[in-house]
Amino acid sequence: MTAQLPRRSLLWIMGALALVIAPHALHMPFWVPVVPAFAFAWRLRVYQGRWPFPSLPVRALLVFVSFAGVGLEFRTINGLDPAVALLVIAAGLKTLEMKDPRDYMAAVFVGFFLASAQLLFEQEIHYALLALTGLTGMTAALVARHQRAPAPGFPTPLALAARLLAQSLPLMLLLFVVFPRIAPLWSLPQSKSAARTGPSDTMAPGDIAHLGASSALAFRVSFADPVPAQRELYWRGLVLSQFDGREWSVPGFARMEADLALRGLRKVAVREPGFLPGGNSTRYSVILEPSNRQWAYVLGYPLSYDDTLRIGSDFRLISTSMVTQRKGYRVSSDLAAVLEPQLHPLRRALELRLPDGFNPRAVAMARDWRAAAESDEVFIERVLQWFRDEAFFYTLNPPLLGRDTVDDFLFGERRGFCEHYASAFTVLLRAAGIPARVVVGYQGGERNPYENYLLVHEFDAHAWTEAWIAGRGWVRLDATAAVAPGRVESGLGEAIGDEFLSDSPLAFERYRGVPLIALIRMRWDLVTYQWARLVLEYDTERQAAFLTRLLGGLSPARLVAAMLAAGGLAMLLVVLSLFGARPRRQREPHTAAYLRMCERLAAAGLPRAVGEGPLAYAARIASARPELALVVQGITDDFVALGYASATQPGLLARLRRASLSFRASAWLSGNFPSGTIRL
Amino acid sequence: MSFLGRARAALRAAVEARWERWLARRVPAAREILLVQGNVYIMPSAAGFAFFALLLAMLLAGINYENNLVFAFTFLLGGMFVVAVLHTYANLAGLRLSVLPVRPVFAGERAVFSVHLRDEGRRCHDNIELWWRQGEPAEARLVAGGENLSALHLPAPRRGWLRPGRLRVRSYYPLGLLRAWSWVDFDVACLVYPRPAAVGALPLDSGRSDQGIATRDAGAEEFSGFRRYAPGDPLRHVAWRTLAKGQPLQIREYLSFADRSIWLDWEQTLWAGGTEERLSLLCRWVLELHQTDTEYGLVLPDTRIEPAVGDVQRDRALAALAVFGLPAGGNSS
Repeated sequence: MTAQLPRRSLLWIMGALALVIAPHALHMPFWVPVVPAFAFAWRLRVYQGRWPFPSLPVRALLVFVSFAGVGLEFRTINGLDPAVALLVIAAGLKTLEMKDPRDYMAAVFVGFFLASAQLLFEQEIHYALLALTGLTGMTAALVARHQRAPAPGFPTPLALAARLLAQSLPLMLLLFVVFPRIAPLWSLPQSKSAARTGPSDTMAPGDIAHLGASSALAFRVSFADPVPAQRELYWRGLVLSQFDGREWSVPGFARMEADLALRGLRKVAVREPGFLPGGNSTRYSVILEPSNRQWAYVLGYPLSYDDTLRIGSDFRLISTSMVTQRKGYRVSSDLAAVLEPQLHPLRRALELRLPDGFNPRAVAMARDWRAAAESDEVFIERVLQWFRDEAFFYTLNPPLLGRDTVDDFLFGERRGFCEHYASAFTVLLRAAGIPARVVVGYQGGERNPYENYLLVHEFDAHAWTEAWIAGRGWVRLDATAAVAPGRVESGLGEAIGDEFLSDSPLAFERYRGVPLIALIRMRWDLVTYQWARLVLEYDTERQAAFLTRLLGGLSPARLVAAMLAAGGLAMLLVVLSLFGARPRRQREPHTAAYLRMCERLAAAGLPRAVGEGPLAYAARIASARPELALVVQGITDDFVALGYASATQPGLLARLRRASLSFRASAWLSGNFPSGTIRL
Repeated sequence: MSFLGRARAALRAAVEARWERWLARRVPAAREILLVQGNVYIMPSAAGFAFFALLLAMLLAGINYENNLVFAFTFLLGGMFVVAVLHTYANLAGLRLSVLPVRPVFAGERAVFSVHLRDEGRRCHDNIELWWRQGEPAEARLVAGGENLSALHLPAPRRGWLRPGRLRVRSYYPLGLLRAWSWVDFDVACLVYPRPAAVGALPLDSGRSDQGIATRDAGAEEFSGFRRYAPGDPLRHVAWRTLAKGQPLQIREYLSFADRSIWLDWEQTLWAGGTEERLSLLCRWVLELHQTDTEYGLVLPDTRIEPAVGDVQRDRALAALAVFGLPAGGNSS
């Protein structure tokens, strides 16, 4: 390899690296991308000849300071985020000592890796396109290094890079479809930078309301069976059984179950949850957006589910890994199942416990009312009726509450979001001796009219109550529905009106009433949904199904034959584009006429030597074959006159063409002169 | 040298000879060679192997993070490598190479081989490296259907026929991940004249030239008429005046005096030393006499060149000196 870098290639590599590094700035401490930006600026000054290269001590200092910065920032260098940060910094600093081709190649390879590492953080279509742009830029930088200066007749680095990548697309598709999706070989550190979204395993007043202000997507669901009614769509996520007077939280054993699931145990439930089938089953598949949490959302009782999920003793589904990327799973649920027909005494005790000395008024009222009611059901109905009758308001912006949150809410403010109602209702039930708990998840979902699937957003986050009633198991009770029936029937947007997404005036979801915006929003979501379903969620099962459908059966021989055929076809296209016949370059007419004569002379055994000029050639022909001299000299003179003389004589070109067309060297040499002599 | 060292050297020589024989069969010597599938080889470069490592790292990331997009990028780059094999090969294939006739040089100078490249595939070719084994590399590029002439220099340390060996043609274009190359054997050689001796007076009374006396005075010849110019005619005899009038290039002819010639004789140079020194001295004399347009003849133990004057005579004499005593076919580089 030549030991020098083309000067321009430096601009290419810096441009391409900038393109690759820029998207990483989204998930990185702000100062990390500043290091390569600084290095590029310096290198640019060197390129312009204004600054010298940094000396070795300066370079060492830069490396030390930025690496130490990474160590301090992340507290470790063993993890995805610090590793990518180090690569970003290394790619930037590499340009400051880029002198020989080896450094250049190293920087290009780091760039390739960074472009694909971006996909570990973001997988949306537009981010994938951004990464692809970066990859194309890096390829162009690679081409620019192995090309000489740009000149007419040669492709630009970008054009050639785009062509190379376009030609490798068929191979990529082929490999993507057939490459076996094997299980991870070892576990790698996951990104810690991504924010946790969705409900957490604790719930204090205001937490769900906070989610209600977000228009981000939580998950998408497509049903294999008819979609249940909106008010049936209670997506169970977490079950909060512990109450400290202010905050509801997941009990310790539920946390343990989550830990066991993370370790890959097959059975994690502390106590196998019992159920009685209800016969109303529905199948659906969910694609969770990354939440950095472990819970999956499910309707009713999950009869069957993917093996990346575990069931907890409170019927919730737990993922075996943190959901750091889109995660797809399929579930078959029984919506009418009786959950836990027999309540274990320990469980019962847990679901009845209330902290001492909190919310005395609410506890006293519940005990009075329960004493007056003949059954649990009657008591529950009375409480719900009370919620309906009294002046309770459903609002995203509830006032702050004092120490006794439930008392303050029920007998003071009376303005709250779903967690206030769920919390207050559950406290009332427990005080009345009915086992009850708070369930957190999502309620409802928005239907995409162009494809049969639901979108569940963060603002669909919800909290409700489950009460255990003998013979019916855990019964879902929603005090919010009593106060604001619209919330459950048609979603948050209907229930709270102007408060809906009031902090994000640009959110598409806010304007879903506008037909055009609704159309764009749903169309775009369809694209992202298909992207998630077909590309991101393409796994072993889908692969087998797809290949079976495509090949009409799945056998190794068939697979190999199909791969060879498809790969061969892809390569054939490239070969044709490289070696296939293409139109001859358009020559000037006088050159064409002259070359025609040369061809005919060559056919007669008198080829023009390499590097032999027209005049010398004519002279050689004249001495070798005097009988051709006159014609050849005439054609040559006309050609030279047309090519080099400034003034053009009218009719000269026509004469040259006529002469060259009628020129038959072989015939003349064999003595058969044409009857009509050529006028020269 | 130890036995082992000798054995190793012998083995290497045997392998090299075998390799040369194989190459000679596969890429035989010719005046003109078209690079095609049979004589273009292709292998990943060092950077190409590093690229494999990168692909492996990306594949592992794809597997361990179960990330389909990382898979997709890995396969895209892998596919690009496969496509680049074709592109790199296409950068050499379809090139017709030939070497133009080579001008002789004196020993110690550098021979210049003009390598001519022409595209026959109607494709542009970029960044092609050309070099002889002992020479410096040149780079060439051609537009579609275009031509390129590269001057390749090669040191010519000894007189005789300088055969440059195989021409190395190599390209890393377009990605540098692959190296396509060919070893082209051209049936071409450069005649290397002996190095002219630094000093050595002309033999004014020459041994065998009994009938001639040296003369440096061209004016002593008599003008006889004009004839058309032929390459090799001395420039000082060109009729510039007629050329200025628009007539073709002509030469003023003089009556030559056949008896006024010098014989340069191998035997006269005995005092100079060994064969090479004697040839160097003769070479110097030929050049000196040529410069003064003196007629001279040359006598070597196996060659005799009749007296004459002009470029043709000089070239003939120098060629005789160049190959004197060498086996027919000449030495190689």
